[in-house]
Amino acid sequence: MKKTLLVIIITLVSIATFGNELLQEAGSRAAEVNESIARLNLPWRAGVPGALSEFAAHGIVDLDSIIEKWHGEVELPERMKMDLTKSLFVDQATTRYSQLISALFVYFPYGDVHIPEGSFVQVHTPITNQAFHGTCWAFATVASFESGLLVQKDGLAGEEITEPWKLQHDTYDLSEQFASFHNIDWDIYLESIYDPLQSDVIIQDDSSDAGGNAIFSTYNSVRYGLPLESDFPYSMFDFNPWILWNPVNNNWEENIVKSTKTVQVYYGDELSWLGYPYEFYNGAIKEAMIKFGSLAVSFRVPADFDYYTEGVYIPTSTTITGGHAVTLVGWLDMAGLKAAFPDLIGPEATSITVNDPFSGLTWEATEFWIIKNSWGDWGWNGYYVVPAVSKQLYEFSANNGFGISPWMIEYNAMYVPIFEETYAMEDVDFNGDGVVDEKDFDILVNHMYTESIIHDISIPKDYWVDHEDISRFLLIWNSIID
Amino acid sequence: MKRISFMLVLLTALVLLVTSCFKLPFVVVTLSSDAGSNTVLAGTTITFSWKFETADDFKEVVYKLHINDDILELETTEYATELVAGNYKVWVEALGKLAIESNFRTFNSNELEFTVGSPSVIFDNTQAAYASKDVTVSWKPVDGLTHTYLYSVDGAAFVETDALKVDLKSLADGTHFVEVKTKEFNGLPSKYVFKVDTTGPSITIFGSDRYNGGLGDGDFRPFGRYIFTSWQFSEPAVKVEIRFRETTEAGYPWITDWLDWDPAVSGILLNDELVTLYLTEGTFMMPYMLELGHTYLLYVRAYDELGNNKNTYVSFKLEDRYTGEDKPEIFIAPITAQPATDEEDGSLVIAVVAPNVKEYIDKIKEYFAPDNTRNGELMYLQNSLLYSQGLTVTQVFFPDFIPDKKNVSNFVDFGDELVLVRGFVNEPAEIEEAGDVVAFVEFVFGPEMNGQEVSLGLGTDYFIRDGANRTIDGIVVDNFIYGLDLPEIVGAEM
Repeated sequence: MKKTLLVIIITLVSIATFGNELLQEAGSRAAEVNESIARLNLPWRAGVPGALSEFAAHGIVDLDSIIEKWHGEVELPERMKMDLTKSLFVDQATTRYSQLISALFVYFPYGDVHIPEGSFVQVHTPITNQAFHGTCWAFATVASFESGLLVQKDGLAGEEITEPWKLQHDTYDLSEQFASFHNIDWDIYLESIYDPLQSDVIIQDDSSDAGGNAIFSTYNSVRYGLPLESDFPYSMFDFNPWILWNPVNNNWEENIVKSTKTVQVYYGDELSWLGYPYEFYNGAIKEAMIKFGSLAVSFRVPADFDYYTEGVYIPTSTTITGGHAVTLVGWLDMAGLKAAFPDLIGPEATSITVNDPFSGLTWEATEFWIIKNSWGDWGWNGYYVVPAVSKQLYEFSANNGFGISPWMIEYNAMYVPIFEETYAMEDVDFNGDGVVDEKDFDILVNHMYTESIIHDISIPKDYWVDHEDISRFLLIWNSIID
Repeated sequence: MKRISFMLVLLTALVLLVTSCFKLPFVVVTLSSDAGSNTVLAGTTITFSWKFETADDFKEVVYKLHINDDILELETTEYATELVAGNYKVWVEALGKLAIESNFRTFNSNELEFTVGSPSVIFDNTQAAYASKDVTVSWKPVDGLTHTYLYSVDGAAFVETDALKVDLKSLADGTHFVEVKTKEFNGLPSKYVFKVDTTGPSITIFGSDRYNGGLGDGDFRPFGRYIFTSWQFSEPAVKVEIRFRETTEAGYPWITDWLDWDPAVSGILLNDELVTLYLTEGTFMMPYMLELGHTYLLYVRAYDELGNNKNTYVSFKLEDRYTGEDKPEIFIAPITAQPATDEEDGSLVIAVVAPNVKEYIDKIKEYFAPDNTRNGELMYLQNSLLYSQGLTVTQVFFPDFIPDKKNVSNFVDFGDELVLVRGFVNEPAEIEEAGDVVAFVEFVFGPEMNGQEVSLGLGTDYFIRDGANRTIDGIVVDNFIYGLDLPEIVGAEM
């Protein structure tokens, strides 16, 4: 009994000591960040993330090891992005990048929804905690998936508010563990991407805790789906270098939810270079968020980001400590920003000056993204706020080939799932003969690769007739028969 | 009287001889050195000094310093020199002339004997490492003299020997050193450091595996058709060999010899279709060397620079949701080709075929690995056929593909890309026979194309959707672009 008591006391003392060490280190770094913030007169504050107490309680003393886990998003090499521009790669394998692309729907604004001029928050599920795994990409994918279900299946809508936690719904809780387990095999991926004898990138699963990217996990949401969190609970502190396969319900497959495809809002910097106007890009993000749900986004993480507690995050240095995937749940205009952070943003402010240490550019931000993180008790009640790329900056990028920096979410593509079965079946009797048949099919195919409002029946709509419209036509035809 | 006179003269001469100028001079020449002992380290400066001691009146004295056979004429009584290794006898020859004399008298000093030498040796061994546990270390003295030696192995106590070598036996792998010095010149020893390495590099093989997630068996089981396996060695390998064997119920047959692998390449992408071997003699493609569902062993053998080698192996298994026989594929196959004549265009018929695709989609894919890839029935299939300029599509024929469903089909031709669209609707249809051909495509070409190579292949834009409009994963689409020689008219000159 005495022995047990002694062990308990020693353990508690150790935790207290180690915990203090961890929190002191974080406090020291946060203080440095605050000094930089003050020196640069930036509108945000740094502090010690509350979630660190939980790490300390698990005996984790190395702050950098936590940061490494937190920043588990792996950016795609350049060739992957180029593939979208239809470079001619050939392939001969089961799941290659081309097949993954076939489940993506590159989204451009359609103009069929009202975009609030002020602030807006989309419905989403509560803040989660990836803990001691580099699985942010899976958390962002699942968060977007859950929000997509709330919007597309349940018909919930966002609101013009400034406090994102007010639109948390816990209707859906799907398994980040399952999503994390289906990481990509980066060795095979990289070998195939750089091997001249391999003509396209090989996509094969791996369960290593090696960081990931939402482009793969969104594809897995289509082909594998996601089980319930209760069937497949997340393992926060197992200290394994891999993700465990740990279903707790033998019938977990019965509760799987699958998406149909994934909407992708393309890379902001590349769209600017391709000549797409700012309103087009900004509209695509907002429309996609309003129509389909919160978006899985990602960025490169400056070293000071981890200590964010409130305000508008603008980096103080150019040191990058990895990648991070998060969920875009809304935006704030200047009025919303002032309401959200009255202590930091003066009532007279008409914009926030962004001195970007990465690009060296100074620009004025009037719109700000609200982003849901997956680090539990962290930041602004689990969220953070970051400047949205302004028209001024976007056009600078278009003309100069740089300007949208890696710490901005516009630097990468954004993803949100589509649940096609939830959408209404349109009238596809194109020839008006009262029946849907082969003749209507031929009419549609004859309009393939043309712009057409009448024949644009894809989910989502895009004024363009292609495989998405023909396959949707077949789905509707089948539904009529059934 | 005469006798008395003679005696007087003799007596006087004797007195003179004893008392003065007729007395022989008495001289003592004493040679000494600062060497301190009779062994002197080569390179040491030795100062010889001598004293010329006498009570006589010498009006001139010069010296000859004898160092072995060398003679130095000196007027001083001190001489410093640095002697090379060797045995020496040194003495001084003093030449003195009394005041009353015209010739020199010679007086020799005492003789000093000593040896100039070195404690150091030069090792005969030039190798830095040995692939043997028995090593003979031999040496020569740097001074060329005969010595007794003291040697020490790996810092142990010094051992005396008259030999010029030591045979070391049963040395452990690792770094060793032998220190040797001459006994007579007990200074700093000479040191020979060498490595004994009798084992090859230890090899660690890494590979794609889901085992770490608690699911696999064997070494590498990725639950997929690909394994990237790489290896690391505990020391640099100058030669690497790999070899494959299969595990079967009957045994473990080798499927390759030892292959001389390029040491600069530290990994291999294994799969069932095409394995690329990076060998020292070149890069080799090995199609269908491995099969799905079979378990193999990959051996890796590495040699270090001494020729030591080690090998190890891992087992691996390539899998997919099908075997090699029922792999669902979509590819093109040329059917017929006729050359063009002056009267008639040539024709080329290509089939887009999809063997096993229907069966794969229809099959309830039982629990494959940890993944759920169940899908609905095939509803939509779209492929693009890319083709060369000079070919013109004249006809596209869509045979029935899925029985018991209405097959609807169409195409869009862009002049260099033919988009083939097939839909399958849940309407009853009277289909007698359904095959694996997605489409037959007939191209025509003019006489100028006879004998020309054209390229054809399926593009990367392909869409395979199930009844929920969801992508069906796992079908192999052959997107290689193939070159095809159009036929020429044979025997036209007859």
